[in-house]
Amino acid sequence: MSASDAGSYTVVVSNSVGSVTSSAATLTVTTATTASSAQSAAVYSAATAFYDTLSTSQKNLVYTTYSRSTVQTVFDLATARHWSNLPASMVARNGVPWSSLSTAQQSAARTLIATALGDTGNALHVGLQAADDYLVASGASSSSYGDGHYYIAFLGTPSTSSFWMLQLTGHHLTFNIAFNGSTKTPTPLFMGVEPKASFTLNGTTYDPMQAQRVAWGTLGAALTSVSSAKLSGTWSDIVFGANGSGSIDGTCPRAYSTYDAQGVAYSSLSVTTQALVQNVIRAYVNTQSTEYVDDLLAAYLDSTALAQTYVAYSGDGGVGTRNNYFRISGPRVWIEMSVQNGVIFNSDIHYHGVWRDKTGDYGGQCGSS
Amino acid sequence: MRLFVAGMWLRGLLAGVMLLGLGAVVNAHPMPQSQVWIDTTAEGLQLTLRLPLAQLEPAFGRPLLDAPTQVLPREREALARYLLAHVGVQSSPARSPAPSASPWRLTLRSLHVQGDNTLAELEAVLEAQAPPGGPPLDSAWLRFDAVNHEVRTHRAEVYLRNDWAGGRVGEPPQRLGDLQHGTEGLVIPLQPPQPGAAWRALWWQGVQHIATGLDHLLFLLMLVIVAPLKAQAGRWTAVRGRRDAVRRLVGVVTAFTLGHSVTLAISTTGLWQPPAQPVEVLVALSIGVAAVHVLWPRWPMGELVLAATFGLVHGLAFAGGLSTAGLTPWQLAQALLAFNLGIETMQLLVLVVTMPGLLWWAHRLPTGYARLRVTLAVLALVAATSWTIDRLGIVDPAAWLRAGPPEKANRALTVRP
Repeated sequence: MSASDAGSYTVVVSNSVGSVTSSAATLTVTTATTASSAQSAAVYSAATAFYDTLSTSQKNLVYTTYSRSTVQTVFDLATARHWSNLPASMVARNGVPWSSLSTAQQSAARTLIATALGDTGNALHVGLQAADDYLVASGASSSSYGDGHYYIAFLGTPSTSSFWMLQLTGHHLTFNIAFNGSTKTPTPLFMGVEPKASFTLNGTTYDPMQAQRVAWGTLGAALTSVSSAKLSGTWSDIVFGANGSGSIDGTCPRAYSTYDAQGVAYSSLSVTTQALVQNVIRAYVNTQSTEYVDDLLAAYLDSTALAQTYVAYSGDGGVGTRNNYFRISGPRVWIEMSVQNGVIFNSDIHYHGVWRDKTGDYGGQCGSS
Repeated sequence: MRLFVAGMWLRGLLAGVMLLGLGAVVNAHPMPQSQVWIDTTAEGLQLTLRLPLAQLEPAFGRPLLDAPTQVLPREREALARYLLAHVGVQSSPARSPAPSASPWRLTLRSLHVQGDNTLAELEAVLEAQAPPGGPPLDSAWLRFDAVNHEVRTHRAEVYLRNDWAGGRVGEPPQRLGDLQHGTEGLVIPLQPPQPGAAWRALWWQGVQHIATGLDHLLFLLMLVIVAPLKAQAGRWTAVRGRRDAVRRLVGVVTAFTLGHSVTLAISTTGLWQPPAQPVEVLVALSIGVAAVHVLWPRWPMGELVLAATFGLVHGLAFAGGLSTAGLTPWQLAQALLAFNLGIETMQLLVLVVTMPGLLWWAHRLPTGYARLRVTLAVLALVAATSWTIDRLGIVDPAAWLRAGPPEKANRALTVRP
């Protein structure tokens, strides 16, 4: 159905006795899907190019569900929810693992990821894979950690017009980039990291979550002088992480309303602090392609949206202390970050964070409550 | 039928192998939530709590994580008071969330810290005694807001592990629900007490353990098939009289039963619990050795010796089929007996069904019987070899399963706009 289908319709029933015409009904068409998307076309062609480099069994793997027994080419929300903040050895992922790709295939995969995310997001993906390699270099088991345990999955069949999702997932990263859906969204987007900050691996220095960490730290410092921004109680992890049954993403819709208006209203913050809130939102949204960034920032930073946005923290406001916690919640945007114990470096801290879109998660197939 | 049983058995084994693998990985990663296991006792309930120190610390309000090994020496009293203040059981005669005003007497039985780093956990066992003359135990209300009163992102998973009087025992724990900030309790749905319910359940588990354990059946068959025969100089030379054969059989079965009863008891009481993999390998080897004996009887009284020694090994494997966590010593003793009786029942049933036919065959058609004996022994040898290889992990069944049957998955897919 398209906009040209709008108009007045009647039903005519004819038989041997004669014919009856119903009264007219008006059909209006609201275009829920976004207008033609250059990004969708670019990712479609990169996805096809990547797919064409694969062997038959790898081609199946791209469409293979977490159970490793079903090959599925139709989008299914229950399958899409099967990601986690735990290593893939503990919670199986959809898709083809990085470890099964040859150098040439990895290069095609990298082109696909860079096309889907843009430079900033691609660097983040590379950095988080390197962070996992760094854990292995520091003594973690290579059967659970390392870049090989990152997956690429097609949920639904790549297309320039019908809905599908590119899922990039691994230990501390899950992107659910929706195409041709009712929203241009990469959410739910899980982003965490261990080691907590800069590290050097094979001569290259990485600090994958630097932008987000610095943005939160600066905002947190400013919030410590805003008493209403501080939440009561301890928040030791993110609220809407992958904490459904089986340590995968929970069922839709999320109970965002439980947390409505917690913390301080954006509108009551100083102009300087408001800018810091926007910085955090940008630090997350900028991990996407320009087309998606423009769409999302327009929605999240719209003045009406900001008037309904709240900011909250718990702990000392910094990014260096265990059990510190931050949240931004607007009509659509939901971003959380938690500072928690390290797992491999367990005398240090590490980060867990999530960005959700209350109406746009999984391309709009997981609405808010 | 045999294939079906083999399939069930293999699937069970594979699931077990994968579960073991997963367990090892899970242990390497912190589980941020707490757990509560509920068991019934003669007087009321036993609660086993597992609380990650990292989550408990902000709620407890004093440092725990900096030196987990010092937690109990320093904080035992304070932790006991904390737990008794944040955990409770009340009678809830109407099965509704409204707790009645009759709290049970709560005693802290033990307190342990597992681990010495930031992943360390506090393990506590509490006993709740129902008020004498109070309402029946078939529904009680658990109050639990430890950690949750402070930590907004924390969950406690609550499981019913054993309900002895209600006949729920030896099964995987039943998840009753999760408790978190704002939800401070739940109803414990116990079954109305039935006399002998736990015994029946455990006996049936013993029966099923043998009925679905092709390896145990095969070992038994290897012992049984030569019972009507006499050996001389490394060959089966003659057929025993019926009475002699039955006597021999009773001896073999008794030896096997004695052997496996001893180790089943040792293992389930926790005296000695060897890892599952070597035990499973030995079970597979025992079938091979028994099959060799069926082909070439090298040892005098071979079946008796085999039955007794390998009975010890099979008993360790049986222990894997009986889950006894959370049982009181008295319950454990009964569980052991009931489960073992189930094993013996099934064993006897197998003998009663197969023995008359085998005896008849051995006497009437000794040549045919010899052919049957050799065929079965060769089959058993093949099965034993493949199981041994499998269980040694030379072929990783988990990886094989993960890869999936290629023919099925091999569907041509095209990407289309």
